[in-house]
Amino acid sequence: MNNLFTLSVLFFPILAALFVFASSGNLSKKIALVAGLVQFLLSLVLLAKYQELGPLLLEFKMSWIGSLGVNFHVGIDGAGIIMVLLASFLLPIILLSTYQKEIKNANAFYGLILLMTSAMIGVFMAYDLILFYVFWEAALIPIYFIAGYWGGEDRAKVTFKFFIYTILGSLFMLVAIIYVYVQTAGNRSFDYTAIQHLHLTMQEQTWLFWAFFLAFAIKLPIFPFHTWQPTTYATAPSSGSALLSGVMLKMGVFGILRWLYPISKSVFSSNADIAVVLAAIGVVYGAVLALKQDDFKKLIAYSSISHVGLIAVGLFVANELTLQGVLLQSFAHGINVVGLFIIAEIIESRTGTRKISELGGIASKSPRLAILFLIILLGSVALPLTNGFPGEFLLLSGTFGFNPILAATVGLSVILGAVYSLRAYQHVILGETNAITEKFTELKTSEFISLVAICIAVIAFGVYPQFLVDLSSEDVSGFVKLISSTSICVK
Amino acid sequence: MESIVILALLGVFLMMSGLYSISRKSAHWITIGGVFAAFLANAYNWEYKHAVFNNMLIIDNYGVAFGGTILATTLGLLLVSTYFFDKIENYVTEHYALLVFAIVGMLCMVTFDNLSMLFIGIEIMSVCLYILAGSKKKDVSSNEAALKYFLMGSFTTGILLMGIALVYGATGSFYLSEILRSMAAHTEPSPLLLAGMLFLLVGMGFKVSAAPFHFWTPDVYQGSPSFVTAFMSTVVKIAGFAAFFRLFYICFTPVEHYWLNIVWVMIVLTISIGSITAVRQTSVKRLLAFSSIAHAGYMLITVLTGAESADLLFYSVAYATASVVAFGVLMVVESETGSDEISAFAGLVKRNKSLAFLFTIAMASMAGLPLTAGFFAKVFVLKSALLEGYNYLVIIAIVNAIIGIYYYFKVIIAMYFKDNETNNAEITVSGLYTVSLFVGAALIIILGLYPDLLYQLV
Repeated sequence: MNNLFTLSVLFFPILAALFVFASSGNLSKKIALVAGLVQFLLSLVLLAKYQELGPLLLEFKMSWIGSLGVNFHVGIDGAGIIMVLLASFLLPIILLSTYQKEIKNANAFYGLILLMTSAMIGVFMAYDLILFYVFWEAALIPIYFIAGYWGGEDRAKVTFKFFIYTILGSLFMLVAIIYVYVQTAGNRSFDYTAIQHLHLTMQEQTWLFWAFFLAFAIKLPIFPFHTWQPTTYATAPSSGSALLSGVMLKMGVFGILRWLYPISKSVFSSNADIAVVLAAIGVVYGAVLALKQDDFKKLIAYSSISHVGLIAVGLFVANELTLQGVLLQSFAHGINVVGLFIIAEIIESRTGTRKISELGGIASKSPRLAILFLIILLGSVALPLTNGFPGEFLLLSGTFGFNPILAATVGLSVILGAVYSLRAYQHVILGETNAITEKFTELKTSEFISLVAICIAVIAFGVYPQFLVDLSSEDVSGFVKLISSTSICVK
Repeated sequence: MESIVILALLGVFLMMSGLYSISRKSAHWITIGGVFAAFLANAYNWEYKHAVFNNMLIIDNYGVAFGGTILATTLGLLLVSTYFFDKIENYVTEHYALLVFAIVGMLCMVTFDNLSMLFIGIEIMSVCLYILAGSKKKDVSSNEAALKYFLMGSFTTGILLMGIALVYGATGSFYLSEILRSMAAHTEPSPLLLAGMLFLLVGMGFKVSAAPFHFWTPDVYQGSPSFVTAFMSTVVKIAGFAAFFRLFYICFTPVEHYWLNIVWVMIVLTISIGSITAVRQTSVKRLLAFSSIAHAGYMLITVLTGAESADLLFYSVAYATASVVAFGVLMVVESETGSDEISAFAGLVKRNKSLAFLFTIAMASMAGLPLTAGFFAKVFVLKSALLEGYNYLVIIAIVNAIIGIYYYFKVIIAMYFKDNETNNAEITVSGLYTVSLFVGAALIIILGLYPDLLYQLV
């Protein structure tokens, strides 16, 4: 019966969403917020159960579509619990940050956020390819409407590009999924265990590698599949961008770990080189473009491309150091980027602009914001004792073992990251106030609490990253073993 | 057989009742009742295989399943038909009668075991449709549709008949089982038989609007009244496919390497032409017409892979349900705004939330997004294609699916993210109408969550 904990974390947001849809206005805001907090508590309970019982007892499996051999198979592993925690921790924070904002059709807005959370958690829990795909797509629909309906200028066009781009990747992945299914032995199945026993030729694995890579690369995004990302982040409402960058892109990271590795294990290392190069280009490219941005949200978007590029490098270098780094950095990046988007929203709603050059002197008007912003920023540039540091350190040192020149190149991004982040901070927060920032008001309670929660996480996981390492170290060695075992397949 | 008798009697009764100025409402409900009775009679034959009419029809599970789909879809359409029948000034009951007779033809098409029954079935259906297509008598495009449909239709009927004659000449029988036996007796099929088969392929291809025999479809679908368009693009198409599948899978499997490649090319053309042309449409009705061509391509894949008639059944039901809901909404918007352009859908969410939501579900299912029936319909079809090794076909199909998502979402964008400049008045729809559409939408979701309900039935 312990798997009820898993199911409740997965389905609670959907249940809450139904109530939110049925309510209206302020009431739906309150229900959503309470639901978010409950969801966080549920995820903590699941964490405790996971530590106590391990993954096996938390697994839930039942036949779903007999004619296709699809199982409703969900479970949790070390990587999964980290992602689930991230999603459940960020949910109440994102909800709280919008608490004092006027939102039209609030019930639909909050309902969609909750639905999306469920779908994303489903992606992190699915042990069946079709189930994974269903959750993967189900997460896309709510965010499409969130960004399209509540977004800013040009929203219809921008979100449509995002949508078509993502769907393009997904549908090729769907073909790959069905192809894998057709190749499974005996009673065909989409199940994770069946996939581990696949016998595919090198050529098949190479095709599958790239089909899955495309879907995950678009989601992350890895250069050159990133073109949807900056405009979408800038146009979507900040809570939408926070969900997209904070949690949704981790679906790509997780998909690579859970599915790309086992399916293309024999050809992984030979194909990964190209992927590593693309990811590394993204690291530098994102950082260089971030230097030049005047729109604060676009700056976050490009810096996110850079950070995620580093995560992707780690995913495809794939040794024990980098993979541990991938998990730590995914967690940290999610928290930091959500913090930054909340700050972007706070500034934009008060001043009506996101242009860095038009702002200044906010420190004197809102010292609280200045301090919290600084902490989050330091986390994002990976200062020691903040959450960004351990992940980035592991990623860089792991990459160094793989290829020193590559490590040096992507290491540049850390320095550039410090440059653009601190430059932005200086322009926005420090200096003299001007006509636009004159009337800047101090943080409201809800905004303050949500930022403080993020800052606590920034520092806590900077001081004690071992917590996350303990959760996932076994799985990390499992992943490494999976792809380094050069089993020659026979067919 | 009972369902055919019930419907034939119902048709005659409706035709006669025109003489006695029966009220519109009672004609409507009598038709619905009669079709429902036929549905029950049809379902009664489940798991009871028998031949009727001198073995000319074989009532098997295949026929019952497709017959049931046809009758249920008709019922759904009748429940959302008020915008059509209320606008007809004279001879309302005759329209109902034509509709009912068309179904009689279709029931023959899904159960035939004799080529003459196939022909008779197609003719009964087609003649009724020629008239229905032109039922807006004073409307030019409706007349154009009827004439075009009639001319093209009778031409291909000729080809179909020619094919039947040639097959008869080669094998000496109209019965599918006899034809099969005669083919087995020869190692090499005779040229006469192959020519006949090719003619049948062309004839059936026309009826299901597969490229390159699809040219009549867009104009006829657009010109006909929306209700008739909905009827043609769902029920008629399903009947056509059921007959196509039955004919080629019972009868022509021994010579399959002669026609599989042709069907492969037809599929690629149908899917690609359907979805690429749909992109440029500004009228929702025409868009649905072209998308129905694309869907015909996906359904044709089941004819190619053959093994699973359940694939075809599931795809048909998923497509029909989504179409009924989509056309149901379209008819409301059309009668409110007088236009079927995408711009007429702009800001629909502000005018009636339920309609926008229903249309979104229908579009999502047609686009094949998960949690809708359309998703599993595509998965089943693509799975069978990959099992048979048609890898390139699947790639082509999926590229077209992406294009499909593009145009389906154009309407969704208009409904949710754009404002209507001309009119923002709320649209009110009768309770029964909305409920019927919601039942359709619920069916889409239920089949999207648990496809086995239908898939394991056959």
